[in-house]
Amino acid sequence: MKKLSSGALTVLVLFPVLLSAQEDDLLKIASEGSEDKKEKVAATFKSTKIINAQTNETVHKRTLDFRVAHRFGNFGGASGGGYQSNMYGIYTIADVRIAFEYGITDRLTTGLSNNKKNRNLEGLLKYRLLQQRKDNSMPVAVTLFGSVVVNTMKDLGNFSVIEDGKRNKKPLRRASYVSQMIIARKFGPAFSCEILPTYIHRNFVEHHDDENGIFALGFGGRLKLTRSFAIVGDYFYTFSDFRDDARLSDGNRMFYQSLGLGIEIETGGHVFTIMAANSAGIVEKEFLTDTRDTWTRGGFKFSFNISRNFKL
Amino acid sequence: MRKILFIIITLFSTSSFGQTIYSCRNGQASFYSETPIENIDAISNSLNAVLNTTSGELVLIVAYTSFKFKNPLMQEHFNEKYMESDKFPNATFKGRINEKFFFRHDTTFEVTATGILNCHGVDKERTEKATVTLNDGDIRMSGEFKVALKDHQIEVPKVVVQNIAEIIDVKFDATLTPYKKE
Repeated sequence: MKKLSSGALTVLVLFPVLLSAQEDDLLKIASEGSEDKKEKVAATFKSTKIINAQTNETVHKRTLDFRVAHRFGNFGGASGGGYQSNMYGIYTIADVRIAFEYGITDRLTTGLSNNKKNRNLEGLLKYRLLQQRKDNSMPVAVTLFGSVVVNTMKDLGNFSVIEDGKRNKKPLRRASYVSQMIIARKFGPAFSCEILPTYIHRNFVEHHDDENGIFALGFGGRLKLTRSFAIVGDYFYTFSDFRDDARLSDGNRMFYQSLGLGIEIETGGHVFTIMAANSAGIVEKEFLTDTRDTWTRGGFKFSFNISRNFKL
Repeated sequence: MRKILFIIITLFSTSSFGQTIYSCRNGQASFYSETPIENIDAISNSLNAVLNTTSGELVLIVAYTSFKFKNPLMQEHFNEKYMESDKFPNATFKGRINEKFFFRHDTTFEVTATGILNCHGVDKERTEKATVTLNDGDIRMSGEFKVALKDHQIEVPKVVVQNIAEIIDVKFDATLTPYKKE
């Protein structure tokens, strides 16, 4: 009797423990595999470009990204800006890009753009090679970008260049090619950054000391402040002896590295980026090899990018 | 002595030995938002459900990232801006079925469940109806209920406030089979 009662006591004592354990067990069973640890990290960036730099993002399948970008004139007086001359650059338009980018698959994007500066026509391809995973089995996202840009400006004669005093009429002589690897990582919901090793080849260069093939390294980042509002920036360092040495008659550098800083506002379907950038051109060929203004002497330009997604 | 034995037997029969756990890994959950401007719907086939038929305890879990939208951009916004699925990965319901039903003889009947619905990290006590169908030892549970966005502090930005309904229709459908430990 005594033995039995102690046994019963044990059961009585354990009973509530068993019950409470049950509820937890149920939750545990239900939680098994509810979260995919290998899940891809989404929305590293909100758009396919930060300011000048491409991001690792591609356009979703069967979606058209219609993009309009503007670079106005120099803000500051020393570089020809100011209020009187051109309303802080607003009345001068350095470059306008109108682009259509289309997602063939979620990973492969193709696009065409037309640009005011040098009447550049651009064809681009972007392929999302690797995607960052939540469990860090793949810590970074890697996207490959390639583009061909042809200068279609007519002032040298239709599609022609003058080399060694001779006019060359082959249209591809004025083509340039960009190959870029975009390595990006999202560090939590608020911060993403990327590195962009880039190689650009220009078939034709105007100065005989200028390099046809140039390496550049880009850096870009996005810091989210609120749900729809972020600070963005990107910088490119172009490795070019010609650009390092070239001087204007007043002793200042002729070429500078490209830096853009701005804010990004996202609404459902639209991404607006409003920024200041010292580069005049929007396509890679222009801002990597032909940035002739510096931030320190008012050489930055009020600029914006607008992206609108249409699901087709 | 007899009394004690009786207690022990009763206790055992109602608790640990009598318990039967049913589970489901691929239940369907969907939701629908209807406004004059646009209708939005999404579906997940990864609803996890666990039911203890003895105690009536029921747990439902679904990860927000498992919802598929027709428009992938909406899917991105749903996770990033509305549900904040980095911070709150799952929607859960943890509660109890109020009726003792497992030993009923009819195959389809209604039950009610009372418990806590956690959505966007915010708890809300709910009592909702569900339809139970007993079939070949499986338990199929389905039902629909409404979720008000403001109950769970899900904010809609002003620019799209006309595109998203304030009250979302949610449906679920899960077929639970006896649970085997993996």
